[in-house]
Amino acid sequence: MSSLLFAAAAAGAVTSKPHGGIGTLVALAVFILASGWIGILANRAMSHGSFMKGFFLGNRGLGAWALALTATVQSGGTFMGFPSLVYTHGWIVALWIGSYMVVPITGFGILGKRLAQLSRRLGAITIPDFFRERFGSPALGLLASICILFYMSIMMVAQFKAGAIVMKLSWPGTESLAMSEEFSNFVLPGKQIERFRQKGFDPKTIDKLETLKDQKFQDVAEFETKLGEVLSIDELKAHKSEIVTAATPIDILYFVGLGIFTLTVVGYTMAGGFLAAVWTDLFQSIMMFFGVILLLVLALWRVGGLELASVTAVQQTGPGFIYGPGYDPSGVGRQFLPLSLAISFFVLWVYSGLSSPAGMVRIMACDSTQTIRRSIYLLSIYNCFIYIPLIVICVCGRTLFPNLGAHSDEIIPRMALVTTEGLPLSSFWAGLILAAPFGAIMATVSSYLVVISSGLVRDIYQRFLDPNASEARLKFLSHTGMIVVGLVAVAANIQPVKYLQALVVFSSTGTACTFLIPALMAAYWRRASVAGVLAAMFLGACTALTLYSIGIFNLADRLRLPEQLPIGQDTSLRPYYLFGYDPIIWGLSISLVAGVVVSLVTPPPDPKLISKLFDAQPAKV
Amino acid sequence: MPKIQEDPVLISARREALVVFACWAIAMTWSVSYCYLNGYITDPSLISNKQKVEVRQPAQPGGIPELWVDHGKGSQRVEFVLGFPSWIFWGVALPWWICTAFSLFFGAFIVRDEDLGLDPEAAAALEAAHV
Repeated sequence: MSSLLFAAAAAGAVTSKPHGGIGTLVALAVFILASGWIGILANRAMSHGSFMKGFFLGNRGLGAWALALTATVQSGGTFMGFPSLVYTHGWIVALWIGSYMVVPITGFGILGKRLAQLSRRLGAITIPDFFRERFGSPALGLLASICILFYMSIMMVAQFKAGAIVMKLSWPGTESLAMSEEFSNFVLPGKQIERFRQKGFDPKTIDKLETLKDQKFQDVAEFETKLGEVLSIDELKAHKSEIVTAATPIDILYFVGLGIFTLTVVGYTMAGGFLAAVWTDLFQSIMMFFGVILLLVLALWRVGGLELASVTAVQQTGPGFIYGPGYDPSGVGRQFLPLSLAISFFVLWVYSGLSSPAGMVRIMACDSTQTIRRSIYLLSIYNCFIYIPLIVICVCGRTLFPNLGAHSDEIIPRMALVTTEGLPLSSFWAGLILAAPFGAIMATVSSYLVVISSGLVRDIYQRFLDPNASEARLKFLSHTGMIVVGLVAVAANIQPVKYLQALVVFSSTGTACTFLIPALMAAYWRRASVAGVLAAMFLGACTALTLYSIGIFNLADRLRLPEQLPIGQDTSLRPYYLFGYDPIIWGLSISLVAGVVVSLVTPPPDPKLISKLFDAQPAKV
Repeated sequence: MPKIQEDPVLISARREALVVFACWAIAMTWSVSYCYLNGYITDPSLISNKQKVEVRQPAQPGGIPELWVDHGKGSQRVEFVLGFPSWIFWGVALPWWICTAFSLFFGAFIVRDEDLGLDPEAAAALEAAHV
């Protein structure tokens, strides 16, 4: 027992609410200004050459640092969703993310060289461009555009919430986190009950709701539980949604954060396009590196070492925190990472990174094979210092914040604020660390803005609506497209999206199932036909979407499929795990079979085109 | 008629892709199987059972308390290596460092530098400059 006390005391669980100081906000403001300045520099740099190639591909001039640290790396999920999973499920998440150990060589070594070469020979600027020219098929280009717009939009919308949360948490003053927590209490005020009365709610229901009047509930789960105790099942069915909406708080700081985040990222991306996204991404990646290392040192120092942190965390949770398949906070025996999902995720992260449209387009933009080679060095070392340290930080976080519950995706910002307490210029250091997640999120959003905007302007408008559009017109449309996409993302986040990491997994699975096999066929297989690649792309995408739809809408029973096992992340945005495997396994398998079979039974491609792309070309004199 | 040769970039890219694919397969086989055999609780009912966790006094005064967990095979001491649970160290952390070293080797000695060529716009600009 004394050891128990010793461990708990040594770890020093935080009971007070951490908060940002003025220095935190200043550090973030400097970071935002620096990003804007980089956007202006990028605007000047891309001014030579055509607008489209400069704005969407940076004139194919990416060097090793820019390619390595921007093509396959972090998103808001890295600093919000992933840490939340470590906090919730424990050490097993190291295996969940373990395939990142080979992402630097798979990301550049499987497709990199051929993609860069073929995109040059074909004059392709975007991924749909690449498929359209490689196979001479506008239909293939259009299908690729639609899929990219769909997946990238979902992924991007999820990032906005993360950006707004970081801004919110860094607000200065002792009221900051207090505001974010207390203002986000669920309260059913008297005026809302009066509104229900006027709407004709049953007087008995009104009387029951009066018992909840002005009470504070920490989150929606607590409020719904209490509501369930007070109201009958019929009353709940009729009014629950409306009552919960009425009690949901307005989080002003969240909206301020959302506004600042959107203005910043849309602004600098509009100014400098692809190069702005890449250069700010590089700058932010470097900030992330230092932020994570600093936080690692501070976290270990604060909790008294990693082993002690693990011991304390297991005491607070259970054996699942230190063993597979992972801790289950609900206590119902859910297995976060059974063997089938461990295999699935070793496939997922590797091949989704490889086939991400935002990553592929950066490889197309690299300046030489030396750049690809050097990028492998840089990213290998970089990943080593990001992912394992993040796991360590979050295990330490579990001991400092034992009861984050529904707020587990705030673990990194909270760690930044708490571990810097007592240091000279503490709030400034906290700001520098918070710049890491903020940077990751901005970088992701800016690169997706470029991809989505290029999809709308280059792949749809210019290709199908107005092939002779002037450069000024394309420029105007590109900028307008970015503003509209930003506004849509803000609108989608007025009611903040849930399940950040689940959305990241969904989009990653979808892009891999859609693009991996077609890209491999395009790069390495002479016999690949248009119909074969269309089939691979379409059926891969359909497989992933179908399995997700079955899971989300609970259709397994109706379709008489085997019962869904309680595995994976506990979220309603989860797929149907057929035989326990993630949809990526089925999507890639079906995509591969469809691509090969359909190619073999359809006419072969034009030999002249194939020779141009697969045979040695005579040197030009 | 001269024999048509494959593009040299295609040849080297394919060779490198096969090496990378093999590396991924080996890493996955090792990590997943090692972790599954050494770090998994076979009985899901134990995952969240705090009663199965015991913290004992350290063997040496001032040391770190020992963590004993019953994960279905009786109470056993959890081993740590460099602060990591040992199965994570051998199954994820060490392979990660080895893969990093291999990636450096791969970049330095296996990837061949090639000429990627010019896109049509750049080629036209170059031609115009020569003219």
